[in-house]
Amino acid sequence: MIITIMSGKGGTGKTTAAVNLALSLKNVQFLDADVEEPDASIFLKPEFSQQEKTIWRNVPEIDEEKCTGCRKCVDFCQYNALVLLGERILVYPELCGSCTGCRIICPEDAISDQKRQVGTISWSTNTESEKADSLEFWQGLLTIGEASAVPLIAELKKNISEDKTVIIDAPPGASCSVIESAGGSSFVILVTEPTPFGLHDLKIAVELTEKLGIPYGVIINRSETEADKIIIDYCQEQEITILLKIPFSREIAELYSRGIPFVEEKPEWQEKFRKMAAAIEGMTA
Amino acid sequence: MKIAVTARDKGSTDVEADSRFGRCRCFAIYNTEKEKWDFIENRSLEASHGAGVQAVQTLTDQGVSVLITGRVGPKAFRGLQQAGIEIYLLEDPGESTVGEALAAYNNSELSQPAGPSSRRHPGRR
Repeated sequence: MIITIMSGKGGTGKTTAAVNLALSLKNVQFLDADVEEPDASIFLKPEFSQQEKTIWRNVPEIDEEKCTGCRKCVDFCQYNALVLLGERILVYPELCGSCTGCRIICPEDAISDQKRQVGTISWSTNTESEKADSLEFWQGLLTIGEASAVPLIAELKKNISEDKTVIIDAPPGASCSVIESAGGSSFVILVTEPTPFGLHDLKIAVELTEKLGIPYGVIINRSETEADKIIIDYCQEQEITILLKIPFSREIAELYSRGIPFVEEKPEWQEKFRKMAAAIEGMTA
Repeated sequence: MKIAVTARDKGSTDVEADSRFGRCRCFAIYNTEKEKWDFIENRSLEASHGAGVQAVQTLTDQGVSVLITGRVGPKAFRGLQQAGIEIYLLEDPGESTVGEALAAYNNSELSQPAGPSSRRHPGRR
């Protein structure tokens, strides 16, 4: 089973939900796909040692001898990565989406592939966290200045082991990198907070998940009875399951600030996450 | 020679100059030989990214050799340099009309930046 943890709004508790769920289950493979700012490793404490590989993508290189400045590649490029200056093409590799369309469309065969670093992927089959029962950890780290995280997330997901419970911590928002993270998942958990901002972005995330056609449910983080109504009303109206509520508690916040997943100090929560996972299993069957 | 001023609207030289380059609403382009203004809409306004780069392409296609704007990001700066388009910065773009911006350029009151503007995006400090 592959579960992707998403949230429209950033800072709602995706990573909190993801790491505590991971530490409550057995035989888990954890993928931190929030490659612009991966932070699950702070809580899960994997031993990366030397297990790291560099990921490359192809960007265009123009052979100026062959290029006639016909402009076909510039007009084709949806990423605005090519500019025609007089008869010369200027390439912006950081904007290129690596679709390779310009190589195909060039009538002079003047464009070839050049490698560019997208980021790194590191992994660990052990973690120092005592509660982690055979947790396998993977994370991507995007090279600074790269416009798109999609190629790196696609590469990260090639390492998925279907025989494990796979938990993917997605980037925030509802952009291409979120779609890349969630695509092919069995279930999506949408983490939200009971605020107008939380609700606003939850609606966007729901719309996206509906389009992806993946079953989903909601976790309310920083839950408080009165405040929750804004989310509960919406979920009832839309017939969306609320899977779990994580209370707005100083204790949880303090543990978080020290890099400690709260299930490690509050083991009764492992049972709650396990029940949630069982419910998810039921919803995907 | 053609001089482009980033503008918040089109129609006349009384419209406000726009501080943004890639995401300005319009380019007001003055042809010094014909002594005539031309207003074109900025098609990169809606681009999800690479707006500045696309705006460089627009100016190149229009044959512009001087740009007057509020600030220029790193990618656009590189493109403008490669294209040989000179950049002049308005100190207070919200305070000038397009016509005043051109007059300030003609009176040599505008400075040329040595590098990209430090605020990488409008609104970011």
